[in-house]
Amino acid sequence: MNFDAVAEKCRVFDNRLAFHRAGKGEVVLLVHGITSYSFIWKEVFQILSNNYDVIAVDLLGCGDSDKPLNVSYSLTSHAEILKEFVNVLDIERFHFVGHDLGGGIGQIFAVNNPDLLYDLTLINPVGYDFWPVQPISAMRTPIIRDLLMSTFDLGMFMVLIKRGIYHKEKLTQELMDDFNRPLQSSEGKKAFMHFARCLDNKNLLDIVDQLGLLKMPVLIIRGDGDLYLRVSITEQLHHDIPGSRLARIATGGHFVQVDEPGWVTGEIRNFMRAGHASQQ
Amino acid sequence: MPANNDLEKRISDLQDKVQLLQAENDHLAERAEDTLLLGLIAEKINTTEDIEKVFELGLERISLLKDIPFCACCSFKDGNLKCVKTFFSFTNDALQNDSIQLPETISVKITAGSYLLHGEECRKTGISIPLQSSEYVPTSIFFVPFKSRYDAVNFFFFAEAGDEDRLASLDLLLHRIIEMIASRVDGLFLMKALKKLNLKLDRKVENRTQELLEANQDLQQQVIERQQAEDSLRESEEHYRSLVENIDLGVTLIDADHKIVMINSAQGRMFNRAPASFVGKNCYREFEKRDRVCPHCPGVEAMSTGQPKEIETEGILDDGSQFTVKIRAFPVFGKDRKLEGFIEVVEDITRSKHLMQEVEKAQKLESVGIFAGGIAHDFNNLLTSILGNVSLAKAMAQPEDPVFKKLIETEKASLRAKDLTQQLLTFSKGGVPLKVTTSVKEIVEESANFSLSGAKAKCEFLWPENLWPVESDKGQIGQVIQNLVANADQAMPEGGVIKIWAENTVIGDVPALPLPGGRYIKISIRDMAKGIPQEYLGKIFDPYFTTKQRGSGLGLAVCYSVIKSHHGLITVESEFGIGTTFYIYLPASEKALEIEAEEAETIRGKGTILVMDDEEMVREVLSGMLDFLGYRTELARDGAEAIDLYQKARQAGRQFDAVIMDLTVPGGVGGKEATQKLLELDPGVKVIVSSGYANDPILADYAQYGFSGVVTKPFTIETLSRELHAVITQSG
Repeated sequence: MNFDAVAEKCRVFDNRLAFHRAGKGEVVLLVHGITSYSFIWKEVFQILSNNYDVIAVDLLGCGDSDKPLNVSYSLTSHAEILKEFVNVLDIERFHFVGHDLGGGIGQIFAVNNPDLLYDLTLINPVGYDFWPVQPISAMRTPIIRDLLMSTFDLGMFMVLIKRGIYHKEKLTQELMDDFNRPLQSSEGKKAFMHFARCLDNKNLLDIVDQLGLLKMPVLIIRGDGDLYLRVSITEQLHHDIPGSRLARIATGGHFVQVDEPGWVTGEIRNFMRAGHASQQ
Repeated sequence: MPANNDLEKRISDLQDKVQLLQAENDHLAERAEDTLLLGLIAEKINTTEDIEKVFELGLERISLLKDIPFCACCSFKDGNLKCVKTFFSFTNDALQNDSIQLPETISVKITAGSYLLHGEECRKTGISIPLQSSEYVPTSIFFVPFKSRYDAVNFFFFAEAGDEDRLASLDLLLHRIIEMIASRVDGLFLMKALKKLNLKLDRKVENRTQELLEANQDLQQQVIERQQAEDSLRESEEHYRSLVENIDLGVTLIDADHKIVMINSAQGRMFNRAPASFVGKNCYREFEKRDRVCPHCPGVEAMSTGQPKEIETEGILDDGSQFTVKIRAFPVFGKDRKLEGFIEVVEDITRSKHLMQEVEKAQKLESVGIFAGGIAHDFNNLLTSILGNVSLAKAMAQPEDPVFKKLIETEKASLRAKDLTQQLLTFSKGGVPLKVTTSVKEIVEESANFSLSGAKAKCEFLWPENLWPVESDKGQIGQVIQNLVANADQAMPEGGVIKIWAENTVIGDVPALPLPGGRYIKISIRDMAKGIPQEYLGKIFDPYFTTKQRGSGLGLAVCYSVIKSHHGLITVESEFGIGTTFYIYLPASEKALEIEAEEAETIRGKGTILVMDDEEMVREVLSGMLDFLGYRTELARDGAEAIDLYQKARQAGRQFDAVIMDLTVPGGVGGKEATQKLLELDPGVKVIVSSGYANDPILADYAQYGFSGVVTKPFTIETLSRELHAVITQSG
């Protein structure tokens, strides 16, 4: 499937979500994190779609999805929107794979909708108190300042993305253009700021206890080269989620699915097969 | 517990210090942010040249990076705030309309400068920002004046609905940002104005360039045309130059001061000098060796009349020798018909003049000849009668008779008269020579000695051993030598030596000698007399020209005519007081010499002779001579009568033994025609042709015309008897 094809869109509540879908079999929902969108799953998508019905979605306010500023972009809100999304697509059950904030959304989704998921895969996920305390000042908060400046300054943007990639040779112009595209418009910039302001650690801290009650298989993948999210988050999650499996790779950065797509896909596929088999 | 108190105090101090540092740090961080923001804004607004884009980019960055929900740049006029550009960080909604109503009090205040409203004061104003789908009610508003050349915007408007005091804290930063934007806008404005000016200038330059291009094209075209014209002119000049240089006439361009400007090669050759040696010099000096303008100068007249002028004059070479030229002068006009000088076209007519003189001489000779021929004919007939009768009388007389001597004298005189007549006839007919291949040595010596018999002058001869033979009429050449030697003798009354010598010579085609090239003999006859004056030299060969008291003036004319008829040339050189030399050129012959027969005595005979002559005295003397010789005669006046008599005789059974026919019968049938008729009657008829023209070509080749013999009038009885005997006794 050509990932460069125009994304499909479907209406979820009052807004439209963009997504790419291909393959047959059990549904796998790929959810991205901040500063990226569905494109980040390109290579994983290609491989997984050989055996699964893969959906890579753009969260509200990101990629090609609508960017309303009167809707909350909190992780809890995104989880609810995604629940309605799979409902609109008439998906009864699926595999949830989340990266970065997508991982956070996945935690909330799994806790609130365990029956909808075969399993949960968290790739370099956020967790606990990862985000600065609100209210944040864009220019005062280093991460926000960096992110915001990167929307105005291509050089700064390149630095940010480069820091998230382990194999620097993978930082092609095409990759940079994919990252940069939604943030070129004022709408994109506003949506990003809105996303940043909506993030609240409380969403994840409130579900910590419920993580320990998850019955579904959980795979945690970490690229140990991640400079943005501390290793303690993944280690804590692995500790708090019973029966979770932790897979680590030294040669992966924050965007490990770009650095090691084959390994990531392999881990996910093996996990899903094993998890499914055990459930059966 | 004093130690604890100290510790607590120290901790408290440290905490205070930490707080201070924290505050310091926050302050510094904020300054760093502001600097960063200014840098980001400056960087971006400097990448665009669109003024409205500058406002857009500035507003976006201020709003997002400083978290100001509403930013706008406006035009404030007459209490009305009209938004030109806006940015909302919290919504994608747009303004309902571009105007924001301001209370009058606020309008007054903001005209004074920056104005900040916050909290209750802001709420009291009731100012709200109408969006399409909602209303934005700020808690804090900041008006900042915008001063620039771009008069569409004169205020920035910031609004915050959250922290009331936030905008106040951004006062300095916002002013700096706005100043930066104003500076950029002014720059762009000026750039735009400059661009406009540049565009105007560019258009002007373009127009001017186009004009210049067109002018250049015109100029190039003119250059091309000029070049073509110059090429044509050059070609034309080359043609003219070629024409002037190749023409066989001298061409000279002379200015009004008689200075030679240009001279062609032909003119240079005429004067045996390089053409360049004439340029810049006076024509009168170079061509005629004069110190001032030639009195006959054709250029003077051509310039004064404006018409061409032609003259003949003498050109003088550097060695003093002269040649005759014909000059045609044409006036030369320059610009505005101003006279600039004249052109002379010069023709060397020396040779043609010489030839013309020759032609004139020949014409004169011819006219005289025709006249002389008429007289000579009548005179010859008279002389035939005289000589014939004298000859007859001498034949009848006895030698011892006193009259015999007189008769001899008379016969001599008659023979001399016959010579004179022959000369006249020779002269009149041009004297077609009866040529034989002969050596001139004998003729010259015989004729010269004959001419000097009894004279005081003597001849000295000098002959080369192998002198080439010539085709010549001995009698005519003899005449020439006689005349020349007689003249030389007459010019030396006290006597002297006449030197005669000959030589072989080969003549090339030299203009000085009007003779075709070939082999010639040159006979030179020099006397030691006083010479002939220069002014006469050109006339001595003219008929009747003489300086002698007694002289016919025909001698040298006859010489000239004879030599000319031999395709030769006779010239003269004379130096007054020294002597005169005549030069005779005769073409050499390729044939061998011919030997001449000698004369015999009187021969008597028998028979009947028919005599035809239009002159009665000739018929009578012939009749007497024939009777003396033993012949019987019958006489006829013309050819017709002769034919009639011959026919009657034949019819009567009689025969004429011979017929003597006069060749020329004016107004009647002549001897030639009559003889043809007689031959038809009697192929065996024997006719002797008689004529006074010794050089008549019929006499030279009489047998071709049916004649059996020839006698030349006047003839002696001996000559007649011999010829008659030869004809009658001729077999066949």
